Amino acid sequence: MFINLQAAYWMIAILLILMIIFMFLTLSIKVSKKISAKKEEKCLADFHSYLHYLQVQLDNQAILRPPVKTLSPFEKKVLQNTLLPWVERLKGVHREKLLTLCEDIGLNQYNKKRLQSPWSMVRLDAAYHLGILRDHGATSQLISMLHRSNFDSSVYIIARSIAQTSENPEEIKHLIQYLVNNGKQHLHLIADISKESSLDIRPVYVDFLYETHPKLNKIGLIGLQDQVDQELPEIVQSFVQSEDKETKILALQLRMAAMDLTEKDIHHYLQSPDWEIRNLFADWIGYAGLVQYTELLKERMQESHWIVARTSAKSLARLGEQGFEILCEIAAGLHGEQGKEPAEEYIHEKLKQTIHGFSQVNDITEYNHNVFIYQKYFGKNHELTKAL
Amino acid sequence: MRDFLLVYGIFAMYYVIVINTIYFGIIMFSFRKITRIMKETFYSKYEFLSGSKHMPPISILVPAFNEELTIKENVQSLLALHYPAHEVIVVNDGSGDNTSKVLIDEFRLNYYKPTPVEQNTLSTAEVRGVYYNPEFPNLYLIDKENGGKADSLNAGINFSHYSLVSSIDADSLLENDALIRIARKYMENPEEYVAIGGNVRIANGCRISNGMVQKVRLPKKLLPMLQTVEYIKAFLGGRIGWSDINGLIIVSGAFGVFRKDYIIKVGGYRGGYPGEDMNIIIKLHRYMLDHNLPYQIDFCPDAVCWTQAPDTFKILGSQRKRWGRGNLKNMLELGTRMFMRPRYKVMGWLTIPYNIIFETLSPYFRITGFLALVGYSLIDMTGWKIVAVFMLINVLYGTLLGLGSLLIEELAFRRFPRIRDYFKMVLYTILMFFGYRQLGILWRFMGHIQFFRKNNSWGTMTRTSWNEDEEKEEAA
Repeated sequence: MFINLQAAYWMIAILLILMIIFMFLTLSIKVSKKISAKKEEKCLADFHSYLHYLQVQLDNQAILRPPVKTLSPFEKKVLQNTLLPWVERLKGVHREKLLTLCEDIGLNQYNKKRLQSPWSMVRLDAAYHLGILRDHGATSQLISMLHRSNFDSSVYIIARSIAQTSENPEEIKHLIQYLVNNGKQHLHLIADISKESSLDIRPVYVDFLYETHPKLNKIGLIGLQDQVDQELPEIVQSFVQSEDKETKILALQLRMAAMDLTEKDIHHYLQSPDWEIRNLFADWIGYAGLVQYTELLKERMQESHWIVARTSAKSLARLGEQGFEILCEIAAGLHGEQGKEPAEEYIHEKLKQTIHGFSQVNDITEYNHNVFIYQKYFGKNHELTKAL
Repeated sequence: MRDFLLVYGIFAMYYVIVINTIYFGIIMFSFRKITRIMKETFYSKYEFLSGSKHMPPISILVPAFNEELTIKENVQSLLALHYPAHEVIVVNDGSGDNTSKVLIDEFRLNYYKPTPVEQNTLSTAEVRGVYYNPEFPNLYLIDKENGGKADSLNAGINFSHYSLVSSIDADSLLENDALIRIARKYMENPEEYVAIGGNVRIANGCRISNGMVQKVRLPKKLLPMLQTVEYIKAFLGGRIGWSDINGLIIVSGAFGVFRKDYIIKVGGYRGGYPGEDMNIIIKLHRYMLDHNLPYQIDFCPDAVCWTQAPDTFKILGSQRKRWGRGNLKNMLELGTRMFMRPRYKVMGWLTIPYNIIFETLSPYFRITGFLALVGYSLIDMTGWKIVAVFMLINVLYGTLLGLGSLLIEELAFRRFPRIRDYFKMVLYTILMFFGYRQLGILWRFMGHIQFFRKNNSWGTMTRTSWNEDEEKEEAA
């Protein structure tokens, strides 16, 4: 067995040195954080009246003036940490006023300088803040930073900043294409990032529908979900036939939101062998208040897939007296045993909801109608009637 | 004889030095990854993501067995999570106490007969019923015959509606943004992430109300304090590093998120033995590598789950013996088949050998090594200097690993900003080597004995209410 005490002493020395280094580093961070926090606290106290002035002036028409004295980088940082959360929370004129103020204070310039830092952490911090500052002049720098970055989490932070600062939909288009071509991310993450943009990027989404890359097609379909007030491009119909389930569902959701479906379509999809599609349609009928399809929902309540049956019951409960009566029929067993439980559940739920909403005359009328229908099937002496 | 004892004792010392050296290498991987983690932690917009409809829906599975004291707060905290689309599925595993009743009363749940579901693919003990109240549309209670934790998780998977499932222990509390942090990571590579583990921290000593940790404090009692530094070392020093080389062998049962399709492909959780959390991860590694599928099993240290640490030797002993049994079973069942097999890459060459040689077999080497040194000392004390030097090296090395983990904690998370807390943690990092570590080895060895004697009982596991401190104050 190799035993060399001299080597062991060396090892003890090395271990002790490493321990001292680790402790020194940890304590240094702790102490510097404490000092920094104290300094920040003092700095904020100095700015107390100025911040109060900003809060008061935010609602007035006059522009917000920057502090009179020249700010040190530390003071800029402290103000940035205070003002940027306000920018994030506010919208419209208030946000614009604060953004102008931040520029006047020099925060944009301060962060643009930091974009050149040799430290990746500092560059990322600057990119993050330039995004919040909506600094249109920083977009090109951010784009080149994105292309230089390793493809890890920081890419999505920079991408979000590009979406926030860009003034050109083409840049957003290229950004999305870059992410799709180089990353493995969830397409909804890209859609979420692209929605940070204040630009109208509907044309970008529509263009993506005509691309050959299926992922771009999906992003187009996801992006258009919130923009159904305009006519749907015809190509959406072709995605309904897609063999990819997610694409198919996205296309169907778009057509639902745009009310671009015929009665035949609805019949067809409610019979789909895929329970998720049946469930989607059962839910949509209730949500959209399509009373004419109550009979179709009655059929769905008879099926063995309990999720679809419950969704159908929930939708029927939303479809007024007609839907409520069908629920009572099913709960009373007029159509067999299947679907009785969810029907009962949603009858109770509906009655409870209408009791809670007694503030309006319409609610009282609806409640009385529902109780009348309920008693027609279950009689006046039924337990629930007594409880009501 | 004397020389043999000394040589064997020194061999055991080298063995421990090698363990510490490998662990030191793993901590270096953790340091390598920490900048990335800091970027994610500081600059991802969790507040906005929590309101985004683009986040993937997640089914949270909560297996519960005799959890009447903690289940209410646990479910409340899960329902209050900042996450746009999630459901909470509590699976009552035939509890003998009022676990079901507590939930039924609190959330006014109604009984529904269990109906067969199309996605039911994992066999489980009989489900007696499902409880639900439309007023809490994201909450389900499944009441089933006792079948163990793995069986409950499988029942929850069968019932779940979403493609991502998260397992949470019923005695744990998730931070508000824990799920969103893990989901964000998942969204960066949904094809390859098959499992992502959260960071488990010790809640003893923290101020808790409404199912949330309101103020982070170190535990006051000895055992929870030792476990606090132990967990920091294991999670921050160890798991970040292992995940950096895709060699993570466990995602803690207390909190993790999984792709449901792959859990089903590997046959779900394995019942009958503890260690189901390690078992599922080894099976996932094996499945993905057998099928040449690109994959990652990662760790998300900023997604935090708080758990109650055992505060008595009896309960802690039970837990550690159970872990010992689970580890042994997993290594015999799966580890031996992957050991040094090139197709299993990091798992085959590093993770599994490390676990077998330095975790599973460690009680045997350490206990016999220790006995050899004691025997040697009784016979002849002339070599005491050698023994003392090697013991000192091991204590210093272990302490160094603890200090490295505390540095990672300070760099990226700063949950314990007070300087006196740091010194307290350093003190307990050192104290750990004087009794606690040795006890842990002994408990693991006893776990192995239980395994070979086919004693598979759960052991003692008494829960205390999350509000115990407040209740005591009120009583006073």
